Amino acid sequence: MASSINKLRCLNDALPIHQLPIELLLSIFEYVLRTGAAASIYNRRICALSGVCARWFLLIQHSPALWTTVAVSIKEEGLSKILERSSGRLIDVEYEPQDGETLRYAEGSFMEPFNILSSTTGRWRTLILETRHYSGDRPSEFLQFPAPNLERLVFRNNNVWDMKDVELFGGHCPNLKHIHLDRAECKWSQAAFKGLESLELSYLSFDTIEPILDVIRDISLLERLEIHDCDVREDVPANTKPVSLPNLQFLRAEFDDYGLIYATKQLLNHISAPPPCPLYVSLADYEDGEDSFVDTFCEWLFGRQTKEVLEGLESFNLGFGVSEDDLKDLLSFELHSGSAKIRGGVRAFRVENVQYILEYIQGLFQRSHSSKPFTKLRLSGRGVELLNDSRLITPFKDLPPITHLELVEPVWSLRKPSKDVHNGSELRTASPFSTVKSFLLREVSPDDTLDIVLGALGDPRARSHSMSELRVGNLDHVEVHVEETDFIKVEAVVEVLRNDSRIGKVDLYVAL
Amino acid sequence: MSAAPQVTLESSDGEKFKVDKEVAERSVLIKNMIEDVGESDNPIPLPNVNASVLKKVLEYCEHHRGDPLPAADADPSNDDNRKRATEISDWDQKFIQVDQEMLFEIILAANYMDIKPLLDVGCKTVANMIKGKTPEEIRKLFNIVNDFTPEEEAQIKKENEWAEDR
Repeated sequence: MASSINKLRCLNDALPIHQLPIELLLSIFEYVLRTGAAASIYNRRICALSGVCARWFLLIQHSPALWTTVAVSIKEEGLSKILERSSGRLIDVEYEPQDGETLRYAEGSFMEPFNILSSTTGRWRTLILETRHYSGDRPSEFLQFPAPNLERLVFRNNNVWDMKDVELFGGHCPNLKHIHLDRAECKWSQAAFKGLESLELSYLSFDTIEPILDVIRDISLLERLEIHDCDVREDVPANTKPVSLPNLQFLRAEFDDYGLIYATKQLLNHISAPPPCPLYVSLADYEDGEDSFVDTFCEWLFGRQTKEVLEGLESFNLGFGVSEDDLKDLLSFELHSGSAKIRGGVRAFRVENVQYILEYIQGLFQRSHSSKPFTKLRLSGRGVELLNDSRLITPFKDLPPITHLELVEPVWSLRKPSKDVHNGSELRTASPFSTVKSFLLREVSPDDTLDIVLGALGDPRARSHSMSELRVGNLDHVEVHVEETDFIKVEAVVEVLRNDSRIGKVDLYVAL
Repeated sequence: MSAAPQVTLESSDGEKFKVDKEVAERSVLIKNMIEDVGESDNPIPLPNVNASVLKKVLEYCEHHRGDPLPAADADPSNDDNRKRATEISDWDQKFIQVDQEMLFEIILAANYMDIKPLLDVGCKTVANMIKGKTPEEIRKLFNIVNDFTPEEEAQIKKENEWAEDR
């Protein structure tokens, strides 16, 4: 038996893949394991790799770096093995019940599965904890352990936990740099926040914005602040002192319906940050009074810029995506002026909200002394509807000419072609996109890729002409970015485009 | 106009390749060798790379001549940098569609010659071949035979059970 196993192992040793040095094989394993996987998937994938052959099994077993991701939901025996194999390294611990999954453990309690890990808390580098409300759980007691190496805490819940008396980790978390608290009402002045680089607060209620200001006032190193889906009930007291955040590089202030406008305004009026800090706010579902709100937004973002930056604007990228994903669901823009960049975004569901901002930016360009205006427009998700609606398209007619158009994962409604759809020349002059010379498509199916480009050129071969406002002249450059699985099919499409005399260069990129 | 400076590379099986210095210097190993030894007419020996593989690697270097070298300090949180790091052109995609033996030879050569973008393309290509497959499918893909003893087999089975949710 032993000799036949040895023969098999000799055969395996001679295979091309086993000529790779161990560190390369391990780096291939890392690519396989780490691509976009939750901890539970990671743990399953590592088992699949271990089960291929004895060489892989041994290599994986004795590579502690591969065993630092711990899905707390797996069986106790598995947890013990992972802890043993991680060999004293810092670990990333994750407890995230999947949506719709019936929790089999203690009717929803998150605490019991953590017991086996209790002796390792000193090694925790990340803790991602998502709870489903269960009356037996005591997160306020659980989150009291000393966490000397913890760098990141994500605490998400489906019901608000009152933890106002809790000093997170008993104040023993000197390396904590990132906190996201979702539906966890904490004591807002405490040691755990002092050394943070990023803070995210969501689905929380505050009487005024004062507690938020008090928290960030003490965080001198804060680089990223995100507040979203939070309620604020009352105005901030008149004597509240403003906060200076000299390192802030990202600010997102999206309060919930109640307080949407005044809480955001008050926050912006009380926070000062360096000019390059981008700002993202929400106007979603708000009906009246946007004018003054937009003024506050623009003043915060543009009022701090120097005269040189505002007068030298030379390029404009606009993204507009309406999808379910958090930050994608907004109008975002980027203005370039030499080496300076002004970035911001507004979550807006109504065309009027988009227009306010665009008109402001248009005014900036009119006042700018730049001699080479260039507009790059990126539309993602349902933002592509903009190409379907003459009302939405109006603001673009007065902007600097759009020369670069990018469509990302476009979603649009199919409509019946209008009568004049094939009347290419007339539409080309009417379309604000007639100046487009460079056209980029990302994550578009091969069939749609061909249809969109041909449709834009007014080619009768296009099967659907639903992007009624998109008409271009000849294109200098088309760039297509696809997933590896679409490569073969899209290659044929790209070949058709490469043979089209109305298009200059066509590049195809594949995501690995 | 003077001709671009050239260097000669010699493969493990003695074949010589005369290429532009700019092309050869896509390899950090060769770049360092030229800097250390100075320019000379002597061929640079590459004892770990045979002619057929070296030809293929030089084809890659020629195509990417003039590309910006990967920046060590590129900000990974930047969307464009991240996309650049995970995307390859259709030329690269076709270039890397070779039989397995050549694929692993290219990876080894890229590792030895220190050509990081080519090494990344090679390793990610192998990773993509593995992703989503069962152990049996992976074995079939690389002609690996199941060489576990019955005891090890039992242990593997147990491991797979551990990874399941409670």
